[in-house]
Amino acid sequence: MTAHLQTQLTLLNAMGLHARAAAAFVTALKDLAVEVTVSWKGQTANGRSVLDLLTLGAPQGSVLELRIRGDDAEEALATLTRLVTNRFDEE
Amino acid sequence: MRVVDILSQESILPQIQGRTKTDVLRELAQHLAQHTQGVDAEHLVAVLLDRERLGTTAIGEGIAIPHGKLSGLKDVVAVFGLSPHGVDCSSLDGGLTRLFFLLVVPEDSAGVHLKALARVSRLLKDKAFRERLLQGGSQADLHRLICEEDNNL
Repeated sequence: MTAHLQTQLTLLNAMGLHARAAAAFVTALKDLAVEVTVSWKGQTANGRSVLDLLTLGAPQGSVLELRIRGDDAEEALATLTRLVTNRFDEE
Repeated sequence: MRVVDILSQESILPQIQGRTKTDVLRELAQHLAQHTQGVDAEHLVAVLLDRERLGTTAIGEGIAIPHGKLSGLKDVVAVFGLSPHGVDCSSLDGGLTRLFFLLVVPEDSAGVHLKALARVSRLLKDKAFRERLLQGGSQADLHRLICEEDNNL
Protein backbone atom coordinates (compact mmCIF):
# COMPACT_ATOMS: atom_id res chain seq x y z
CA MET A 1 0.00 0.00 0.00
CA THR A 2 1.39 3.40 -0.93
CA ALA A 3 1.69 5.60 2.09
CA HIS A 4 2.11 9.32 2.19
CA LEU A 5 3.98 10.58 5.24
CA GLN A 6 5.25 13.91 6.43
CA THR A 7 7.57 14.92 9.21
CA GLN A 8 9.86 17.66 10.46
CA LEU A 9 13.42 16.91 11.48
CA THR A 10 15.93 19.28 13.06
CA LEU A 11 19.57 19.07 12.02
CA LEU A 12 21.50 18.55 15.26
CA ASN A 13 25.00 17.85 13.94
CA ALA A 14 27.46 20.76 13.89
CA MET A 15 28.13 20.54 10.16
CA GLY A 16 24.48 20.60 9.06
CA LEU A 17 23.55 18.97 5.76
CA HIS A 18 27.10 18.83 4.38
CA ALA A 19 28.35 16.31 1.83
CA ARG A 20 28.86 13.32 4.10
CA ALA A 21 25.52 13.79 5.84
CA ALA A 22 23.73 14.16 2.49
CA ALA A 23 25.43 11.01 1.22
CA ALA A 24 24.33 9.11 4.35
CA PHE A 25 20.78 10.35 3.81
CA VAL A 26 20.69 9.13 0.20
CA THR A 27 22.42 5.85 1.04
CA ALA A 28 19.86 5.12 3.78
CA LEU A 29 17.14 5.19 1.12
CA LYS A 30 19.02 3.00 -1.35
CA ASP A 31 16.91 -0.14 -1.12
CA LEU A 32 13.60 1.51 -0.30
CA ALA A 33 10.75 2.11 -2.72
CA VAL A 34 10.03 5.73 -1.85
CA GLU A 35 10.08 9.23 -3.18
CA VAL A 36 11.36 11.75 -0.68
CA THR A 37 11.41 15.52 -0.86
CA VAL A 38 13.21 17.73 1.63
CA SER A 39 12.13 21.34 1.98
CA TRP A 40 13.84 24.13 3.85
CA LYS A 41 13.46 27.90 3.58
CA GLY A 42 11.25 27.71 0.53
CA GLN A 43 13.57 25.41 -1.42
CA THR A 44 12.76 21.78 -2.12
CA ALA A 45 15.26 19.04 -2.95
CA ASN A 46 14.98 15.44 -4.07
CA GLY A 47 15.95 13.35 -1.03
CA ARG A 48 17.50 10.70 -3.26
CA SER A 49 20.07 13.04 -4.83
CA VAL A 50 23.15 14.22 -2.93
CA LEU A 51 23.62 17.05 -5.44
CA ASP A 52 20.07 18.22 -4.83
CA LEU A 53 20.31 17.98 -1.03
CA LEU A 54 23.54 20.00 -1.06
CA THR A 55 21.85 22.85 -2.93
CA LEU A 56 19.85 23.53 0.26
CA GLY A 57 22.96 24.48 2.25
CA ALA A 58 21.04 23.77 5.46
CA PRO A 59 23.13 24.45 8.60
CA GLN A 60 22.85 23.07 12.15
CA GLY A 61 19.49 23.91 13.69
CA SER A 62 17.58 23.89 10.40
CA VAL A 63 14.13 22.32 10.57
CA LEU A 64 13.71 20.16 7.46
CA GLU A 65 10.25 19.33 6.17
CA LEU A 66 10.18 15.80 4.74
CA ARG A 67 7.52 14.34 2.48
CA ILE A 68 7.80 10.61 1.91
CA ARG A 69 5.72 8.61 -0.49
CA GLY A 70 5.80 4.99 -1.57
CA ASP A 71 5.48 1.39 -0.43
CA ASP A 72 8.37 1.70 2.02
CA ALA A 73 7.41 5.12 3.37
CA GLU A 74 7.11 4.00 6.99
CA GLU A 75 10.49 2.32 7.00
CA ALA A 76 12.05 5.33 5.27
CA LEU A 77 10.55 7.68 7.85
CA ALA A 78 11.91 5.60 10.72
CA THR A 79 15.36 5.26 9.12
CA LEU A 80 15.74 8.94 8.28
CA THR A 81 14.47 10.04 11.69
CA ARG A 82 17.04 7.81 13.37
CA LEU A 83 19.82 9.07 11.09
CA VAL A 84 19.12 12.76 11.63
CA THR A 85 18.42 12.55 15.37
CA ASN A 86 21.63 10.51 15.79
CA ARG A 87 23.52 13.44 14.20
CA PHE A 88 24.44 11.25 11.22
CA ASP A 89 26.74 9.43 13.67
CA GLU A 90 29.06 12.43 13.64
CA GLU A 91 30.92 13.95 16.63
CA MET B 1 28.83 33.56 -2.34
CA ARG B 2 29.26 33.16 -6.06
CA VAL B 3 31.27 30.49 -7.81
CA VAL B 4 33.28 33.10 -9.71
CA ASP B 5 34.41 34.57 -6.37
CA ILE B 6 36.26 31.36 -5.55
CA LEU B 7 37.19 30.09 -9.02
CA SER B 8 39.50 32.06 -11.30
CA GLN B 9 40.06 31.29 -14.96
CA GLU B 10 43.54 30.00 -14.14
CA SER B 11 42.03 27.55 -11.64
CA ILE B 12 40.38 25.56 -14.40
CA LEU B 13 41.89 22.32 -15.71
CA PRO B 14 40.24 21.59 -19.08
CA GLN B 15 41.88 18.15 -19.40
CA ILE B 16 42.60 16.12 -16.31
CA GLN B 17 45.23 13.48 -17.10
CA GLY B 18 44.84 11.19 -14.07
CA ARG B 19 43.10 7.85 -14.48
CA THR B 20 42.65 7.02 -10.78
CA LYS B 21 40.99 8.98 -8.01
CA THR B 22 44.29 9.50 -6.17
CA ASP B 23 46.04 10.75 -9.32
CA VAL B 24 43.21 13.17 -10.03
CA LEU B 25 43.23 14.50 -6.46
CA ARG B 26 46.99 15.03 -6.72
CA GLU B 27 46.58 16.87 -10.02
CA LEU B 28 43.84 19.12 -8.64
CA ALA B 29 45.82 19.81 -5.44
CA GLN B 30 49.01 20.66 -7.35
CA HIS B 31 47.08 23.03 -9.57
CA LEU B 32 45.48 24.72 -6.58
CA ALA B 33 48.85 25.02 -4.79
CA GLN B 34 50.38 26.69 -7.86
CA HIS B 35 47.73 29.38 -7.77
CA THR B 36 47.28 29.83 -4.03
CA GLN B 37 49.92 31.26 -1.72
CA GLY B 38 50.87 29.21 1.30
CA VAL B 39 49.29 25.93 0.19
CA ASP B 40 51.50 22.86 0.15
CA ALA B 41 50.29 20.40 -2.48
CA GLU B 42 51.40 17.24 -0.69
CA HIS B 43 49.75 18.32 2.54
CA LEU B 44 46.55 19.14 0.68
CA VAL B 45 46.58 15.71 -1.03
CA ALA B 46 46.86 14.06 2.40
CA VAL B 47 43.92 16.13 3.71
CA LEU B 48 41.79 15.22 0.69
CA LEU B 49 42.62 11.51 0.93
CA ASP B 50 41.73 11.56 4.64
CA ARG B 51 38.35 13.00 3.75
CA GLU B 52 37.78 10.40 1.02
CA ARG B 53 38.39 7.66 3.59
CA LEU B 54 35.28 8.83 5.43
CA GLY B 55 33.25 8.28 2.27
CA THR B 56 33.56 9.18 -1.38
CA THR B 57 32.91 12.75 -2.48
CA ALA B 58 31.87 11.43 -5.89
CA ILE B 59 28.20 12.22 -5.35
CA GLY B 60 26.87 10.75 -8.58
CA GLU B 61 25.71 12.23 -11.87
CA GLY B 62 29.35 12.36 -13.01
CA ILE B 63 30.31 14.85 -10.30
CA ALA B 64 32.85 14.80 -7.51
CA ILE B 65 33.31 17.59 -4.98
CA PRO B 66 36.50 16.64 -3.13
CA HIS B 67 37.07 19.03 -0.27
CA GLY B 68 39.13 19.70 2.80
CA LYS B 69 40.02 22.26 5.42
CA LEU B 70 43.40 23.96 5.66
CA SER B 71 44.59 26.07 8.56
CA GLY B 72 46.10 29.39 7.56
CA LEU B 73 43.86 29.76 4.54
CA LYS B 74 41.98 33.08 4.43
CA ASP B 75 39.28 32.38 1.87
CA VAL B 76 37.59 29.48 0.12
CA VAL B 77 39.47 28.48 -3.03
CA ALA B 78 38.44 26.10 -5.77
CA VAL B 79 39.73 24.24 -8.80
CA PHE B 80 37.46 22.89 -11.50
CA GLY B 81 38.65 20.09 -13.74
CA LEU B 82 37.25 17.99 -16.55
CA SER B 83 38.25 14.40 -17.15
CA PRO B 84 37.84 13.51 -20.82
CA HIS B 85 37.52 9.78 -20.12
CA GLY B 86 35.93 9.64 -16.71
CA VAL B 87 37.45 8.12 -13.59
CA ASP B 88 36.20 5.41 -11.26
CA CYS B 89 35.84 7.24 -7.95
CA SER B 90 33.47 4.71 -6.31
CA SER B 91 30.67 7.18 -6.90
CA LEU B 92 27.37 6.82 -5.09
CA ASP B 93 25.53 5.95 -8.31
CA GLY B 94 28.26 3.64 -9.60
CA GLY B 95 29.04 5.78 -12.64
CA LEU B 96 32.32 7.32 -13.80
CA THR B 97 33.22 10.83 -12.65
CA ARG B 98 34.11 13.51 -15.18
CA LEU B 99 33.41 16.81 -13.42
CA PHE B 100 35.69 17.58 -10.47
CA PHE B 101 35.14 20.58 -8.26
CA LEU B 102 37.81 20.84 -5.58
CA LEU B 103 36.89 23.06 -2.63
CA VAL B 104 39.39 24.06 0.02
CA VAL B 105 38.09 26.01 2.97
CA PRO B 106 39.68 27.65 6.02
CA GLU B 107 39.48 25.80 9.31
CA ASP B 108 36.53 26.58 11.62
CA SER B 109 34.31 27.62 8.75
CA ALA B 110 31.30 25.27 8.80
CA GLY B 111 29.01 28.07 7.53
CA VAL B 112 31.24 29.10 4.63
CA HIS B 113 31.87 25.46 3.76
CA LEU B 114 28.13 24.75 3.48
CA LYS B 115 27.53 27.89 1.42
CA ALA B 116 30.31 26.99 -1.01
CA LEU B 117 28.98 23.43 -1.35
CA ALA B 118 25.48 24.75 -1.94
CA ARG B 119 26.56 27.22 -4.60
CA VAL B 120 28.65 24.67 -6.48
CA SER B 121 25.79 22.16 -6.30
CA ARG B 122 23.35 24.73 -7.67
CA LEU B 123 25.78 25.50 -10.48
CA LEU B 124 26.05 21.83 -11.46
CA LYS B 125 22.41 20.90 -10.93
CA ASP B 126 21.22 21.53 -14.46
CA LYS B 127 21.91 18.56 -16.70
CA ALA B 128 22.01 20.61 -19.91
CA PHE B 129 24.65 22.87 -18.35
CA ARG B 130 26.71 19.85 -17.29
CA GLU B 131 26.58 18.58 -20.85
CA ARG B 132 27.83 21.91 -22.16
CA LEU B 133 30.76 21.72 -19.74
CA LEU B 134 31.50 18.16 -20.83
CA GLN B 135 31.91 19.29 -24.42
CA GLY B 136 35.09 20.91 -23.15
CA GLY B 137 37.03 23.93 -24.32
CA SER B 138 39.81 26.22 -23.20
CA GLN B 139 40.17 27.66 -19.70
CA ALA B 140 38.56 30.85 -21.02
CA ASP B 141 35.66 28.97 -22.67
CA LEU B 142 34.89 27.00 -19.53
CA HIS B 143 35.25 30.02 -17.28
CA ARG B 144 32.85 31.98 -19.49
CA LEU B 145 30.28 29.16 -19.36
CA ILE B 146 30.56 28.95 -15.58
CA CYS B 147 30.24 32.75 -15.19
CA GLU B 148 27.10 32.81 -17.30
CA GLU B 149 25.45 29.99 -15.36
CA ASP B 150 26.58 31.47 -12.05
CA ASN B 151 24.96 34.79 -12.95
CA ASN B 152 21.65 33.04 -13.61
CA LEU B 153 21.53 31.34 -10.22
